[in-house]
Amino acid sequence: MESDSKKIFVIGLLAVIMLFNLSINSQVSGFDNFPTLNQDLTLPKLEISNVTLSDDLPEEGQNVTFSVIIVNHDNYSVGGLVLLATIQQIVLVNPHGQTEEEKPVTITNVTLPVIPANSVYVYTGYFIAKFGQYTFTTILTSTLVKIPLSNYVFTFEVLSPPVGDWKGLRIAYSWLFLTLISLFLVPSIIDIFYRKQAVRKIKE
Amino acid sequence: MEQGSLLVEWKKDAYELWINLKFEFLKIRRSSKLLLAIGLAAVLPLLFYFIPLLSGGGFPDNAGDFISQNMNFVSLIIVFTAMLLAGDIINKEHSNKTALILYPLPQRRTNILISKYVVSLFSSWFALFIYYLFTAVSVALQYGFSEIPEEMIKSYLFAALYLSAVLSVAYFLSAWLKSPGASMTLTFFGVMIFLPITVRLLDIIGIDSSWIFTNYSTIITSIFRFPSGQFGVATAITEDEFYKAIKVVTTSAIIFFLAAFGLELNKEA
Repeated sequence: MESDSKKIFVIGLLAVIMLFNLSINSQVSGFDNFPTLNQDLTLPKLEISNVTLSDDLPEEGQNVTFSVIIVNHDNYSVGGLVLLATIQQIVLVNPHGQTEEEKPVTITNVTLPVIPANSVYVYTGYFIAKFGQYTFTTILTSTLVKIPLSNYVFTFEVLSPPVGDWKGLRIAYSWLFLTLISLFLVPSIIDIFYRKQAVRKIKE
Repeated sequence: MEQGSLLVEWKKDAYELWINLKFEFLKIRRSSKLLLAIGLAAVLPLLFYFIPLLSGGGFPDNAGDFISQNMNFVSLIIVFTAMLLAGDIINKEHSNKTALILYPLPQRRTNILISKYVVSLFSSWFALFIYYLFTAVSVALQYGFSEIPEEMIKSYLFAALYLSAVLSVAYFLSAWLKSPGASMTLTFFGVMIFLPITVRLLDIIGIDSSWIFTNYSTIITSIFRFPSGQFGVATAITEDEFYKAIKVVTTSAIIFFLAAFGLELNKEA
């Protein structure tokens, strides 16, 4: 019994020593003075609220003007912003039955002037429309960091020029009906020709 | 005297043709084929209207997109109608032995053949018109009457021309093949599969395939000017391509019709 209490005392003592050592070892020397980066990088509160096209359904070859509406929600002016606008043609299925990605085409990559605090800035640019369905994407970057609210995406279509005049169709239908009419008329002419020949032969 | 006799002949032929036209029209009206073609042409556009309406799937933003998407199926309607109305129009007379009664009659075989072609052509044009009419009604209901584009008439006229070419193929096959079933099947698969495969193979080996009329079925949709109805990278058709399409389609329609005519005129009853 006595030896048991001694053993328990020794084990308890060892446990206390181990716990004490553990608490000492887990503390980094000078921890409280070590500088930390626990604060998020503050990006300017800029938003692209809308992008409008001069024509909702532009035609191929048309000069399309686009307006990017940028809103600065911050209480200070922001400079050094870069506006990037791209258009990418939407491909449904290619002639070989596979989907493929068309490369985005940059239509604007400019550094914007300083946008005053709590103001709206409108950037206007243009591009030449080419037939197809497109995705229009804008993004603002500040010192190479993308501003999340500036990612504005929408789709638009470009119509082909008017095609198919009436003249070609009129000619086509005329040929079709002429063929039918000639097939109706010709047998009688051939018959009369042979009949005439037969009469001539009889007379001879 | 000669001029007079020619006019008398033509008058007689015109009367014969008129009788044949009426006879062929009655035959086609009594058969369920015309009804089936018209029914399909009416139902398909209505499905495109009612399914998004009832399921709440939504319609495209503009009428042009809606029409372009619906018109993707116009080729199917064209081939199906041509197959039904002309796929067995000639060889059926031989397989049913009715040619034995029809051909020895004192009338020109050309008139019989013209009337068969004309009646099937006008009936299929009518079925196609129903498809366009119901599509136009769907557009008017969803987007308003003013949104029905002028291009619909142009598209219809080109589609009807394309239909004449497909119908001529069906007419030719029905004159060439003995079995009505074989000519009908070959019309459908020929225009929908074999000719497009031929185009593709010719493209692979670098031979120009622009003379094959099935190349131009997409123009029916392209006339609407919207890229949404197109497959792959959308490319606009030019005026030159449109003229070429008209030339190829019309020439094909005439050649196949004349070939059928030649084959059938040289056949014995």
